[in-house]
Amino acid sequence: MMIATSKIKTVKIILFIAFLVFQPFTGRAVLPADTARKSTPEQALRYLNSIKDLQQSKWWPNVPPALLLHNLKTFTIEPFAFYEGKTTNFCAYSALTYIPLTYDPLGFARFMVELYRNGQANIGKNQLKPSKPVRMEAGLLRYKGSLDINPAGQMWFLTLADHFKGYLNVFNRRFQKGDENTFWASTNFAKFNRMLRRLFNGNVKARGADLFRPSIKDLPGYLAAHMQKGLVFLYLNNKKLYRKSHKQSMISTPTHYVLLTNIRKRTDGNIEFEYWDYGARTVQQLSPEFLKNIIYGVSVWTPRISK
Amino acid sequence: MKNRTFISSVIALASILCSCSYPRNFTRNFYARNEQKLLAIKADFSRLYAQHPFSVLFEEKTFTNISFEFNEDSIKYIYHFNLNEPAFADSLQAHHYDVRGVKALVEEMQAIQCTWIANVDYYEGLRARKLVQMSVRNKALNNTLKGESYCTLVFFETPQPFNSKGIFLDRSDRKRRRQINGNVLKRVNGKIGYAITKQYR
Repeated sequence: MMIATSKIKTVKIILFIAFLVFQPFTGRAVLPADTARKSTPEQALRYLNSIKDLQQSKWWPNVPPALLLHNLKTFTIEPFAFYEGKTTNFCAYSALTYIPLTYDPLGFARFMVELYRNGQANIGKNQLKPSKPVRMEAGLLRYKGSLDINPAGQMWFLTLADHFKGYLNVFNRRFQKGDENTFWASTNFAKFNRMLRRLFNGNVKARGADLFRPSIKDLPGYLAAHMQKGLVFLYLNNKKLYRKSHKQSMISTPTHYVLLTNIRKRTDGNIEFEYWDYGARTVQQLSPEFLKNIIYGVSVWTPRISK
Repeated sequence: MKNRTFISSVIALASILCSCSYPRNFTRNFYARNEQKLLAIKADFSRLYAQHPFSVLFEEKTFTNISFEFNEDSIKYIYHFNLNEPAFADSLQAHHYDVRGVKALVEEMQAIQCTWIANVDYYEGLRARKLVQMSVRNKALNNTLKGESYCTLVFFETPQPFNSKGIFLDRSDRKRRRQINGNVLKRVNGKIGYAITKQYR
């Protein structure tokens, strides 16, 4: 009887070890959220609810104060619902907004209210002071889905696009109506990483470039491993991820930023790829070759933990 | 000799210009010819969508592979299927969709070369509304120089205001022309608009 029990125990241990060795990798962001978090959604909501006398801003004439506060509360409660709008080039700004909404919702709410009241405000290492055409346009963007009723989001996107410039913006630096859809709002990979470094208190490790894919042997494994360390942003070819025409494009370039939320190798060899963009989480099953083909940049942001 | 060269170059130029544009009344004629089929697809999609949200995309010109978007509460699953394989029906079953209804809709779409169908949010002032967007392929919209175009049809829930040129206007701001994916919408009838687009979604 004793021998039988010890045999079962041994088999169990062997099975457990085998399970650990052979289990397919999975990656889900496991961050030191509590230690890294500077404030909580509850604190942000308390702050926003305490504002009773927000007057119509002379700087942002098309952003009603009540709607601004309503939008800010929605961001705090549902950070994954944050939406860049249809046909805009705001995807980079939207992807990185996950950081303040998760790690410092109170700081973000204060920044937005200060920006609304004074037409300028400080965030990270920057003082953001948007130009007049941008301030006049916020609140007027239309036919962009739920961004239409989100003037606070419009303020934030337009302010970032107005402040940060990369080489893609060289020929269109001054905002004109409709520029949210043009190169004025575009973000190259270096600009994206610069924004991460300058706006938020964290470390950034980036691999890849605008025209060349990163040379990483086991890309899914690399992504899964880095999700354990921080937030992983991907710069990828949107034409391939979301096909919009039957035409096969001769030139392959990245045009879209997403936040990676989960990655898992399936038993059939495909990769279950979960990411956040356009105000929702999406899961696609892709082959490892296809995934490697569409990813041009990987940025890993890890929060600096204050001692 | 000079005259002959001039005339032939004018004819060549005219033929190039003609090949660059689609037939002027394409949508009106196409819609009139296929009205019953298009309305049936729209009605079936709306009924099935109300039961469980989704959208369908035909990824290739062969119309045998689809990309099906299963819309759950907080997450979207975009899966790719070959219609000749059983995986599609199995996945519909697993996600609790009306398998027979969805497969019938897909066949209706195949028959008319409808590439994409989805429900889209739009706003009138602060009020959220829904419309059905459908894109159709047709040989008449292809040309060698400009490539392929699609006829995007938009089905509103309520009649839309329009101007003297038949362009739909924004109900909450009649100075604005209503757009879908950056394209101005022209009127087929009070509730249905169209745009000829380079992309199907």
